[in-house]
Amino acid sequence: MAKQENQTSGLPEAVARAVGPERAKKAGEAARTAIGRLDRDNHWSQEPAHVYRAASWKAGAGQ
Amino acid sequence: MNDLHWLEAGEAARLIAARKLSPVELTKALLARIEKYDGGLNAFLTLRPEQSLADAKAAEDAVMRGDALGPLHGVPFALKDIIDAEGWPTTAHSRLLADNVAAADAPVTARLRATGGILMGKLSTHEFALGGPSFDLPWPPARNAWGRDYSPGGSSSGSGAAVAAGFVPIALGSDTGGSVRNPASMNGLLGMKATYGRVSRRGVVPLSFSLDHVGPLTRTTADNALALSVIAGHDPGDPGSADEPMPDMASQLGRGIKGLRIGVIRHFYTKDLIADPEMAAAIEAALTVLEDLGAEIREIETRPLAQYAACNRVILLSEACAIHEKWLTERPGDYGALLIGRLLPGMGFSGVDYVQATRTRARYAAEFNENFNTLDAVVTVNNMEPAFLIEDFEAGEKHYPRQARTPFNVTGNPALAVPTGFSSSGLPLSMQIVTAQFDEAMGYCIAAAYEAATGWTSRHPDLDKTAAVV
Repeated sequence: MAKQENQTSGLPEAVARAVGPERAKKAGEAARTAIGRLDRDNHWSQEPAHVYRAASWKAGAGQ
Repeated sequence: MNDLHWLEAGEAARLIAARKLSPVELTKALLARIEKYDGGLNAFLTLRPEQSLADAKAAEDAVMRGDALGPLHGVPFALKDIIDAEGWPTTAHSRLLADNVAAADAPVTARLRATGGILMGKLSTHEFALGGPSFDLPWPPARNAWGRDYSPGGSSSGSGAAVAAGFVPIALGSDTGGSVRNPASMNGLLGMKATYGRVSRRGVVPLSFSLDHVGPLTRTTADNALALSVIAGHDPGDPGSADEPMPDMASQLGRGIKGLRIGVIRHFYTKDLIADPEMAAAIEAALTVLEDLGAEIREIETRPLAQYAACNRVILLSEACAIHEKWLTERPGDYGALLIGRLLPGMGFSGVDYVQATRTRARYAAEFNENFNTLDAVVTVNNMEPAFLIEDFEAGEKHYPRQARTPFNVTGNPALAVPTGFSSSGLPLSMQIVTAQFDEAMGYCIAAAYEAATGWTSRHPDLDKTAAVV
């Protein structure tokens, strides 16, 4: 099922509905504050932090 | 023997091996102390005195048979209630796991038991290692052994309270944004967040897969090094586990710090955030002690705390929300209010935000570790102020972001909380000693020299005054 976003809070609609509009709104504001503080750059390369490790494909890895 | 409750784990093991102390006598003494005082501190969620005593009796029988004994033979320990012990509940202090019983020991539990440790019980935690101190959960929050009106910190709240109260000499906690080092700070204890991957997290309820660490809280440096040496080691069942050799920690403790190069990150507590004057003064006094012991102190600069905090928060809450999404949708009413409030912002992050944070993390870790090309260790603040009043919600909300622990969850470096004395109101103060990846021994070496020079860790709370319910 496609994930719908709550227009007011920016949280997924199902979660916003479950926790109520007030909590969702507050959480959405906190999320935007945190994202605003995140350090971003536009460098691109194959970085260890976002490359899926080939070893992970091996059957049973991580079990 | 008097004051068995203040006996160090290492010393207790030596006395037991020498047949000068019975594990049954020690376990009984600690159970009696828990019975007498834990009503005021709520450190334990689950106790099974008969089972602990049976384990102690088996340990005593092994001594009398002349069996080979492990380094913690007959020594009691306790676990934060997110760490599995076979047949015991693992509740994460939450309604959602109130009926959960562990099918097997977590590897850290198995290691403690295999070296002779006696499991005393499961300890209070902030709900799912994030939400607390909470008064709307099935169990009350743990309280500070130095004054029950104060928070013991968290999320390993019961671990801090239990060790400081003399209920056990060793407790395990977990640390994702500082949850071993915060209660260590607020209870006057040593608390180690070792290198990411040093200690297995299998069988531990996760908060954030890429930031979670398991670590020991103890009253002394020697005990902390001993506990880490027992629980550390490669676990192929934990994808984050590192296959690195563990040096002999005990041999490092007495080597002294003459000639060591120690950096200090002052801007964390004088510019990025302003620490309580007593907390800052205690760190400056500690630096003077380290200098007098022969270390060279150099001030260094890193990125501002806020950048590390943002990186930690986006990763931590994104991963935590992936774990909790289903329950957040289907059973939101079963969470405590504090956990919901802290967790929910993670549902507002995008995939792009998470990837940016993980890329940032790799860059920050590489940058920070360059310091160890020219330094042996780095000292900085832990909490910005001592413990807050546990029932003061506003004070608690203000307290948690005012810390300098998340940088080292982001970079993965070992970070050891070390007591630096007491505030004028009698509450513990603390600093962190941070070292290069997999060089926990260096942190212990510096902490041991500092501990011997200052004696802060020999002070204990008087529970008749501090734990009494008025």
